[in-house]
Amino acid sequence: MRLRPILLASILPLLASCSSAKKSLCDNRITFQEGELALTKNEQVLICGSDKGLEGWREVPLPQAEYQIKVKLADQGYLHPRFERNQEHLDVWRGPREKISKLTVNGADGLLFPDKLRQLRGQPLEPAQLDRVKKWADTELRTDGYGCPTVDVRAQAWDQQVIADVTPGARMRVAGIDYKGLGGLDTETLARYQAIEPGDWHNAREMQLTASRMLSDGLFQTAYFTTNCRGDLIDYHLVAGIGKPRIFRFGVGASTEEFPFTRIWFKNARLDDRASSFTVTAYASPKAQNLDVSSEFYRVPWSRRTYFGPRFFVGREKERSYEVNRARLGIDLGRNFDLSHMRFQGRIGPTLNYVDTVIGYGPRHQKYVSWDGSLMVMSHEYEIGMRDQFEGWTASFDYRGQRKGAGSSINVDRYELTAKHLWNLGAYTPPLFVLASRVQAIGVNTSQIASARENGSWLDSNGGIVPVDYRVFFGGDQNLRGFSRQGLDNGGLGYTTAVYLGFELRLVEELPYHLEPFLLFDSARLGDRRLTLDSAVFTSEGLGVRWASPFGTLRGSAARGHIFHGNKQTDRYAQEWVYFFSFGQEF
Amino acid sequence: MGMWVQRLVVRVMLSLLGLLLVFVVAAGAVIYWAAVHPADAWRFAHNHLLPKDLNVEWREIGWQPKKISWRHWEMAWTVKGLRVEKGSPKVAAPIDEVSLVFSFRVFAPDTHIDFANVVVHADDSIVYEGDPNAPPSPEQSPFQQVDGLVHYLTLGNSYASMKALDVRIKDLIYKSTPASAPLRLNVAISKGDGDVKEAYVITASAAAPGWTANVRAPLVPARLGSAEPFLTGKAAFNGYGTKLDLSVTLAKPGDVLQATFEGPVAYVSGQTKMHALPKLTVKMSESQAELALNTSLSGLPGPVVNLANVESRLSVPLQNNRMWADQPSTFSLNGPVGLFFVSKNMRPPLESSCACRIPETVQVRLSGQAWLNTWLGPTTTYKRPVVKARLVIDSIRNRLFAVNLAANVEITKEKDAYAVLPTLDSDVHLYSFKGLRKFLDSQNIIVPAPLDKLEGTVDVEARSPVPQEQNARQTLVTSVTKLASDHQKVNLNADFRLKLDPSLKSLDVIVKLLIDDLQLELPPLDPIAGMPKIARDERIQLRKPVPAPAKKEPAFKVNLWFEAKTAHAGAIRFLSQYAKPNVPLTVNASRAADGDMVGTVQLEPFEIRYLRRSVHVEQVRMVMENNETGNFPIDGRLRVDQTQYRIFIEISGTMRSPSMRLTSEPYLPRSEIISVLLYDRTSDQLVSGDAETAGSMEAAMADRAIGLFGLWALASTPIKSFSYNPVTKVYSATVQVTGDVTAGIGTNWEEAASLELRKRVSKRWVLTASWSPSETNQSQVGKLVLQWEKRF
Repeated sequence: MRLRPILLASILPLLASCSSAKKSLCDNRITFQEGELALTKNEQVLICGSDKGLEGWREVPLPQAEYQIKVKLADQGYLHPRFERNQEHLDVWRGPREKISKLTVNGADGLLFPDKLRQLRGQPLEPAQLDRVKKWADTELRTDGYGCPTVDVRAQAWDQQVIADVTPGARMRVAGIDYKGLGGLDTETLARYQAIEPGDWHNAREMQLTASRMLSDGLFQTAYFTTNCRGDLIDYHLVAGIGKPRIFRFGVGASTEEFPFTRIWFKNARLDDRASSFTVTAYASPKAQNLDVSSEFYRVPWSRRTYFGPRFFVGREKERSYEVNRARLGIDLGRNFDLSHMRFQGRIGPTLNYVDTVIGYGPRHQKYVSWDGSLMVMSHEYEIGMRDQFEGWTASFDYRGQRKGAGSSINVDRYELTAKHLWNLGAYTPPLFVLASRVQAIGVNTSQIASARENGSWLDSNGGIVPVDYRVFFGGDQNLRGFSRQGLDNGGLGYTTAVYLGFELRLVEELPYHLEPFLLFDSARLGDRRLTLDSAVFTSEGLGVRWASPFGTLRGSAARGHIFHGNKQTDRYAQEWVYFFSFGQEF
Repeated sequence: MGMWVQRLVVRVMLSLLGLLLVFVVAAGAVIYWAAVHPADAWRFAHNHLLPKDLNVEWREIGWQPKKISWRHWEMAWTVKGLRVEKGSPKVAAPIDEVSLVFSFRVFAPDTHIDFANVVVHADDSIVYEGDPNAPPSPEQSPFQQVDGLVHYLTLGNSYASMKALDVRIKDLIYKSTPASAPLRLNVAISKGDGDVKEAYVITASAAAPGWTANVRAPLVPARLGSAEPFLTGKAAFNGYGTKLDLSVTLAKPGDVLQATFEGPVAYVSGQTKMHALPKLTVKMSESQAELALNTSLSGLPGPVVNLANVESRLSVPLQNNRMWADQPSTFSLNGPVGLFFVSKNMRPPLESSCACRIPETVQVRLSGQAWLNTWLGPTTTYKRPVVKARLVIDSIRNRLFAVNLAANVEITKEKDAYAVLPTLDSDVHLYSFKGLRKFLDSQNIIVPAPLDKLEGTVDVEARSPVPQEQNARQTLVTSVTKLASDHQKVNLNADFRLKLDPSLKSLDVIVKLLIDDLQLELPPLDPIAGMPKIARDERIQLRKPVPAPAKKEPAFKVNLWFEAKTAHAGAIRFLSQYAKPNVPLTVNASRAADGDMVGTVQLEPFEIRYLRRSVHVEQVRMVMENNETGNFPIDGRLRVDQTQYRIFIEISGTMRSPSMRLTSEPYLPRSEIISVLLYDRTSDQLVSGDAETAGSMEAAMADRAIGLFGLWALASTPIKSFSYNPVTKVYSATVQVTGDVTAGIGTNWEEAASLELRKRVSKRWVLTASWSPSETNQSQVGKLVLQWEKRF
């Protein structure tokens, strides 16, 4: 609610420059006998005049207004308007709106497929559509090795045809990348950001992805590429600007989840010429207070993409059902690299943990050593279009484990494999249907939870207790959408084994206001014994809608949960319609 | 001594008398012999007297002389199967029958011949071909030529009489030279069987490739010398799209020949259908010919369709033994011309604007002199005048405008080449520009804002030849424009120099525009409300292009040179609420006939103030060199004075792809300059979002994605955020809209993944409201954060 005044104060002046379509313009000097016209503030000046200036533009002569209306209507696809002047009054008949019937591409056989450009046929024959065709052709070629194509787009009103005359030029490989503005940084440092290597086919999206990664890391204030085509080679020039290495931020605020909070953030993004970094974050709110210190030291002798990552975390977290104090001290060996249009990010290392569960199920005053590792693989397609969620795939494997005797009283290993694939059916631009699928498999190598359920004891056979981080809770809009968020909790104990399979079929860019309806189906089996699944099958099917708003993704879904082959333990779960509304979450 | 002379004279006279007696006796003997032995006489004449290439044959000849007295004879002469042939000029004349019955008497009571009956019948073709090598006939004036014919008629009428005449030549083929097209005539002349017994009825029809003509003209020789016409007839012509049906009269009262031609004339060619009803009167005496033509014309091509009561006169001096006299002929043409350009719809608003009544027609007068001898006579190697004419159109004057139009033309001939030297003597005065605008507005013709608010005068004068250049081919049209409104001013002087090629194949128009003082208001557009389109997107073709016909050299070519310059630096000023004091412009440009522009257009120093930011435009210049694409090179420098730095934006490159070099005092690297330009702080003092904005701006500038308008926006508005996509080369900017609140929305909906609203509380404190994905990508959190940031 507190945001609303600022939102309104900011957006209303912008919206003021637009006006709704009107039948009558310029104090009724102009009347649309057929159709209507919406004018922007500046168009109003050129068609009706303005009181703001001197005498020159107080009133615009009707013939001039007629000309300007003709230009404006042509810009919206009304190419044959009719005007009738009656002394100091102008009547306008907007006429039919020309619609595009066909797209023809000349000069790019086998490179561009006009049938794959959707939402063009039937659209108004207007300059914006021509710009869109040009942008589509140019982008498609630049992402397929053609570094310097030329695209000229024109339209024929008599047969409603749009024609793109394309000269793709030579297909080019990246000759090399030179750098400017690194401020003494070792150029090899940049290799860890590179999505494209010399010798690869030129791809403007991967080039831009490289710059985006550099900027998002905070090391650079500016990073952009310029290119130079020469024959079948293209040179990349990276122009980077490095700011001062230390960044300090202090902020206080409120969020939809917490009020108030304060955050102090410090980062030294350039500890050495390999851009090793050190980050400290202190956060405090009524729900959580923590200090997080992390670093990446690129000092491994054999590789400049591999780093050591010492880290320390101490914090308190208070939720409705639990309150936990935690401390973690660890060091990782990590590596980020690209291969075959895929991004690999991996890290593994030991962590000394301290946990004190003040409220809720969990260990009290326990110290143990765990191993934490993760490997994430992401296709460049997915990384580039992460916000659109149109195509690409990502997969990750996470491991966490602790061994009895190594600072732990129990043996426990947690494996999690997650994969997601987005399939643009028909490879249209923009997509028509996106079929998304995801798979999740979690296995916790412990029998403590089943024992606890059967024996009423919270200790495992070794007398230890499994921390909450190892337990699996299901339900919610991240997996089984027909059940409430983390509602499948095995009586609060959680599960140790889970296999999940989910699908979503999304209709893109067919409804107004960028609303994207989708059908969903989720299925999972869970188990509270070691690497064993129970017979119950949880499913949910339903539908939802996604709105890629300027604010971010808003999603709403309605799904009904079902349990097949259930038993006593599953009877407690309600099988009903569950509704979710979320910001920012994706399938 | 006296006696000797007297005797000598007597002897000479006796000798001469004796010689004459011998001659008369010999002649009488010859005539007698020829009359008695005509065949022998003809043979003798053919062999010894007539040209060698003349061959005359006949099948039968009859001769019956009858003596009434020694001085009065009656003859009957008949030839049948006569054939006359001659080599040069070629004559082949088969004549079926020639029959003459006449009587003649000599000396007493007078010498006279009476033809009782004359018959000439030729049913076969008679051919005549002129001899191209024949010596020219002695030159005669037109009067002499016509009068010579009439004289023979008069003589004939005095010494002969005709009771009956029957001449029928069915096919006379006439060729002036062997190579020329044949003219075929069918001629019949008769007398004695018509209504008027004294009249010779001449009936002739002629045909040649493309045309036919018919004449039927009774000729009464007895009327020669009286005021009554001796010939009244009808003449018809049909050919080359023209149809004439004329009544013709010829009379000769005294020494003056008079002729009238009257009747409808029609010309049809394709869509053109012209009709005229001329009446031409010709009076010709030994010293002068007077032609007067009254006519009405309809169906004329061009804007003037009908002409009524057009009167024209031509007076041609004549000189004996000269086809055309050296003295000039004088001519005049006078007729009303409808104001074709004032349509029925135009008239009421025009009359309303001028508070007057626009006449239906204006009188047009053309008069001058023509040297027919130069035009039609033999050519000379030196230049001689052919025509000197003056065209005057009646003046129109009212409250809105005054028009005085006159023109002179002089045509000279040198060898076979003609030179046309037109000169103008006209002026047009517009007394009220608003009145003109009101009229044009009623015709839906744009006088666009802000020009429509101007009032004043426009004076156009055309005087030629240009005296100082001594070149009679040039015509100078000068125009003085003085318009003004409360804050606007237009003072222009334009010279249009028209050079007509003497061969009439081209016209060079050289326009020199001197801008004394031009101050106009720019539309009060809001720079951040989007630039409205002012022209239709040419990429969308409305009509199928018609295949261009093969380019052929135009018969008449207009070559235009244009030169425009300001009288002093900054003579052009555009008024804008953002430009202080205005946008001063200096122009010095010219356009050659081939369309290439050369020159400079230069912005003089001024200041742009917008949203509490100011930019000093020190100079921006566009240099127009011979560049067909119109993408001219530019250079210039803008200056932004920030707190601690002066930023200079040096512009170079071309209009469509400008490049910008940023420099500063004191020195800063480029990326820092952009930071200072946008935020008045170096990058180390920027919060990360601002640094990202500065970086995007730098990328876009490097990619030349920012054009001149973008540069202006960059320099003159407090841009707070800027995002650039190098793949699509699309950038979007966020500006400070009110106070210190900014809003950023991507121009491309699909690319706009998040919205961030910032309110800058102080230099380092920023209040940010945002929706953004959380770090774990599990949820998205809306946040409102007041954040302080420092980079060090």
